[in-house]
Amino acid sequence: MRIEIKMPDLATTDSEVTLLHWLVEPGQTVKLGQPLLEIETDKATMEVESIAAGVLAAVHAQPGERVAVGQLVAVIENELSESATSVVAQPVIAQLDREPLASPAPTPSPMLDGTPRVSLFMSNKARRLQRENMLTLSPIQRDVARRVQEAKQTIPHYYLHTSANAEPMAALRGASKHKLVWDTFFVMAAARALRSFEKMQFRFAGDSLARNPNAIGIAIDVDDELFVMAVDNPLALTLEAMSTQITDHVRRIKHGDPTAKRITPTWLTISNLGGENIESFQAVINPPGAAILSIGKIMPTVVAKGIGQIVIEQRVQLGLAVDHRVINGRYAARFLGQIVHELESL
Amino acid sequence: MSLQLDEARVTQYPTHFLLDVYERMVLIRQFEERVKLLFLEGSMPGTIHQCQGQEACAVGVCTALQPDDLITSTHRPHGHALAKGLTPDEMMIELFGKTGGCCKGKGGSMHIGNIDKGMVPAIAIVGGGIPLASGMGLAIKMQGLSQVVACFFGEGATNEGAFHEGVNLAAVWSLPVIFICENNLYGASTAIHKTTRMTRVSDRAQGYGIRGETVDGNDVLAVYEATRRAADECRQGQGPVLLELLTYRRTGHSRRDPNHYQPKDEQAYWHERDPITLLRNALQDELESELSLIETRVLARIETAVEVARAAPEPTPDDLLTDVYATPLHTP
Repeated sequence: MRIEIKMPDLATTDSEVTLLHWLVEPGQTVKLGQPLLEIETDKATMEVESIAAGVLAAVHAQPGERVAVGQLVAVIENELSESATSVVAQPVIAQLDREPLASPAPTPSPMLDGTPRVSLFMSNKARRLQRENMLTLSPIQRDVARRVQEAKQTIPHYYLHTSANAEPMAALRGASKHKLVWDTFFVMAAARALRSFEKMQFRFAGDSLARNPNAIGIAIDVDDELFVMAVDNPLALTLEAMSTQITDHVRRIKHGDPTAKRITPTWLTISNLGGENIESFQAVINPPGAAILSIGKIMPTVVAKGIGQIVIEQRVQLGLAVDHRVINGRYAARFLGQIVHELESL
Repeated sequence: MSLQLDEARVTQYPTHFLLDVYERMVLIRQFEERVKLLFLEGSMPGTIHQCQGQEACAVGVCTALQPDDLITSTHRPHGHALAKGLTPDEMMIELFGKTGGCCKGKGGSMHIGNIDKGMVPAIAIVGGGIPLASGMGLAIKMQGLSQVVACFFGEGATNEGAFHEGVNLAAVWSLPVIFICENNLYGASTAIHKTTRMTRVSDRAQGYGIRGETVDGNDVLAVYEATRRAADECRQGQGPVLLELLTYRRTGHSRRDPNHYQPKDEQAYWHERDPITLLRNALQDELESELSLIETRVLARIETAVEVARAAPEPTPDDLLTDVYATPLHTP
């Protein structure tokens, strides 16, 4: 007989799970209770056991696919004639030599007033139509969505905007043996500025402020999933070491290293869209940091130097979004000014 | 702990007693295995908390009780219920949420019980049953009855305020309650040593001035004897008693938990000490055919329960208000 294997309800809060891989291939024999496939739920990865013995005839879902609870994922065929689950009982009932059970057909309970039964659930067609017009978010995308919404809704942001001469860092980068990652300069400048602007290291904690760990975060987008890597104790690193650390971290995320994907608290986050030709922008604060520094494109800019003198130099636009509960405007303005100073004296 | 049961202890019991105890443990194991398949198949609603590996605790305790003694249970109640004499039929129907179940389909897995058989519907809140057991003990004492209450909970519950309050009050009033801690080493996914320094739960008895005892919870006869002693003390007004049964859960905390936190070598050790295997190995070889018959009978009985449950009628909207109010607001 043919037994349909449907995805069991193993997620904690979701109605879907991700199929990671099949542990049995079509054509292979499966025992009752043998692990059939591995899945990732919203909470853990786990194996799904087979509810029947037989031969795995077909699979209807592929690794990487999001599968709804109850969705058909495989078909198992065996030589028994009754229901899938009587695999357990068939031989033993025969052994006991008892009468086959005359189980009465289940009778649907009538509605009170005799109206036809109406399902409380969406029809399969409506569900399919709905799915076709949807893009599924990955667990990381959902988590980021939740975090930015919470940040934007609960943190009173205000925004500062300025620019810095980028020629010193461009020169430094040009002179380095392996081209330093641009973010290195901004992390270093921010870290140096933070030394004399201690209050920027704190987060809002009700009726007091609490100090965050000594680290600077860098926002990293890998395949449309957003991560924040932490550069711990940045002042202890050379520019070269920091650059290597950043490159390594991005590579680890791309290779799916779960420890690299972990988000840890930082003093400040840096978000850089200069590589995407954006001149300037403002970002959403990444809690528990009290501010986020946004970096635009480094580009030749016309600068008026005093009256009657115009020069063209490489400049970069900087934005700073700040949590007003922690930092007032003047303090944040001086801090941003210090970052500019540090960038220009790298 | 030993990898086999004490032979001298086993031989002092009559064969029919040993076989009965064995059958109850197998019944629990196979019931849980069948429920797992029903859950994976999608026909069992909700989540379930299973007790494979802990059968000797339920059976050892309940076998030592009288039919009118009471038990309270937890979110993991199937074993306790079967050991206290609930039938696979009334339980399976309940798990399917149908009207013929022991709680008319309104309790489900986590509130299973049958007061006529001495099992208050299970209390799924961790530690929630402990103060209630003391209340039941107080009722028994005030009425001058000779019953005892066996109150099951896990080691995680001993860090709840309810544990302290319930045990302390029972101690002060010498209530006939056996507090039974099934210590399976993990509160959901957290190992016991991460939540308390008192990893020997029975030591906590000293804090309340009562007797505490740690027993091998996978040795059904040791559990039986410890419970008999505790019940006798309670009936003589010397309760309460705290029993700690050392055991191990062979499954995740719930069906959605892959229990990756249990170290492989720890699992291997406890699987070797499986309570059913321990008793089976201790029984004489000539009982082999009897044991096979028991296993066959159990499987058939459970299969019958599944068929009965599948065929049982669903509750109707008419059933919504029954058993909700002490006096119905209106009768249809």
